[in-house]
Amino acid sequence: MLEIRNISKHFGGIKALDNVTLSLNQNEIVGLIGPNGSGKTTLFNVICGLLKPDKGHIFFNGKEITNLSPEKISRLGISRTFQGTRLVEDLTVIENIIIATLPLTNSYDKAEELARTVINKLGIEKIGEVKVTALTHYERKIVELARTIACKPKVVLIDEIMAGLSEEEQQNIAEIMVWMKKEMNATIFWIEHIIRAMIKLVKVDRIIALESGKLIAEGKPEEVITNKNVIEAYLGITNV
Amino acid sequence: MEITNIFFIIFLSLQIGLIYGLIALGFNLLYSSTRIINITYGDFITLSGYITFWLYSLYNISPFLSLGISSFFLILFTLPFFYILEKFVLSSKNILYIEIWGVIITFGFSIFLQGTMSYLWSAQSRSYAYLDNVIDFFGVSFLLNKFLTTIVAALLIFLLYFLLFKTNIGIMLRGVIQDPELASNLGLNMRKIFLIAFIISSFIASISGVLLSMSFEINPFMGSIYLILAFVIAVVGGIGNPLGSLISGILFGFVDVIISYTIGPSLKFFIIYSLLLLILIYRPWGLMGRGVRYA
Ligand SMILES: Nc1ncnc2c1ncn2[C@@H]1O[C@H](COP(=O)(O)OP(=O)(O)OP(=O)(O)O)[C@@H](O)[C@H]1O
Ligand SMILES: [Mg+2]
Repeated sequence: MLEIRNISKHFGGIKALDNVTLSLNQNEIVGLIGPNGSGKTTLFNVICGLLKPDKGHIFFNGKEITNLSPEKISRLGISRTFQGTRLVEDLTVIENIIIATLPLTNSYDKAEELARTVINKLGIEKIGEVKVTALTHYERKIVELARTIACKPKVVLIDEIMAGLSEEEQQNIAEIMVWMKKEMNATIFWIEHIIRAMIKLVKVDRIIALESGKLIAEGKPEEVITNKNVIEAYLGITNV
Repeated sequence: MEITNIFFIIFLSLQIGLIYGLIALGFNLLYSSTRIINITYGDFITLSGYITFWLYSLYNISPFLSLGISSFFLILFTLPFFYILEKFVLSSKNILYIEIWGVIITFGFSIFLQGTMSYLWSAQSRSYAYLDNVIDFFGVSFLLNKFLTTIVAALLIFLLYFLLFKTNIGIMLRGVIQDPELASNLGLNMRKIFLIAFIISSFIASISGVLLSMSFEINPFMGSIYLILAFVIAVVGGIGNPLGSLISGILFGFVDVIISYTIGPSLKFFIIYSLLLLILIYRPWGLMGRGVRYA
């Protein structure tokens, strides 16, 4: 349902993405791995319209979205979270979600109703009226996830959600992600460095690996993490 | 100093301070959401002052009615103004481009408006006397019109507070101000929000113009002075911080009145800009600023 064809993007001399081609199928969870600076976040930025690629095309359900604005892409049903969380710091938890549901409903009451359903679902209704500056790292992650869910997306891009969380917190987030796949029929594209969480907790359907902007491996999780190129890419950066 | 004198100075400072705060708020809201430094902003204030002046002088229409009439015309005028800026400036993704071309285009508009107003109505300063009888309030004498402008300014501040902090428009505007990139990623209709910011900003300018004309002289070029004041006060209060603009406006009101009463009005601007310079050297993001994210 999401097709990325021959996408390249460079920043000055750095080739952040080098002729990347991949596709996501309806209702699967795909992990995206690769060493720091391999272009994972850049790929998300290109998909959601924050960056224009130098070359290549992106199709969503057969429709080209390559040069659409971020707001149009979002309205088509592609929603994302940000590396290290991104919330409107001045607003409360519920307002941070309402801001995302307003474009769907254009009525404050309906937007609030939708936002409340989602925070109830995720069990964070108690912190609904709290300013997000007062939240813990884990709560911020959940709020960002709630905001994404409230957009009723078809495709969700998640950028590094497990970092810095306890075992139990990782487990909770994994459950939410599985719920998103099962109950919302969402397709999830997920950048993560904690590969164990991908394989053991969420049980992703596929993994794609990037290195220096190039796609180096793709396939079943066990295959990809045992792939020679992938191991070298990871070992390369740790210099073992 | 006698106690009544102190009350009098507090009242005068608040009267001008609330208007300063409003002017800065309108400028701040527009800049922090759209990145357009609207040089024409001050001339909107002037234009509104003239509309009020002429309606009162020629047809005896109360300035309180002009609050509505003038806002209506200025918002009408804002629509093509917005359209031009949207087409040639706001469509860019580059903030520097928006800031520079925003200044160039609105500067052009400003020259055009000031020229037209001085051609049509001459460069002479004008004023009118409306409700200028003295009222006694706990032993302090005020001009009734100054008293009423203060009340209108306070009401407008309440209205804006409600709009910014209690409505969906406010949530969206504050979201766009704090993180435009995130807002567009959440699917917010940026064009609509920019238009709303323009309308609110023009509405504030027109109300301020009416209120200023009720107690001060107006002339075709005064917009430049109010523009600079709006800019300075907004920077001191913090770009992107509506409450900061208000507090900083009231602060400037006190500085303005106290300097005028003690040292004398001729040194007013020298001292105000020296203060600005000091503040910007030590706190470049303003006294209450939190730094706006550059997407
Ligand atoms: N806006 C930008 N301007 C300039 N260079 C950038 C920009 N964004 C990313 N880069 C560069 O592009 C390369 C890929 O960065 P990217 O953020 O996509 O990596 P990543 O795979 O997400 O890494 P990490 O795992 O650390 O998040 C890096 O070399 C980075 O420095
Ligand atoms: Mg990244």
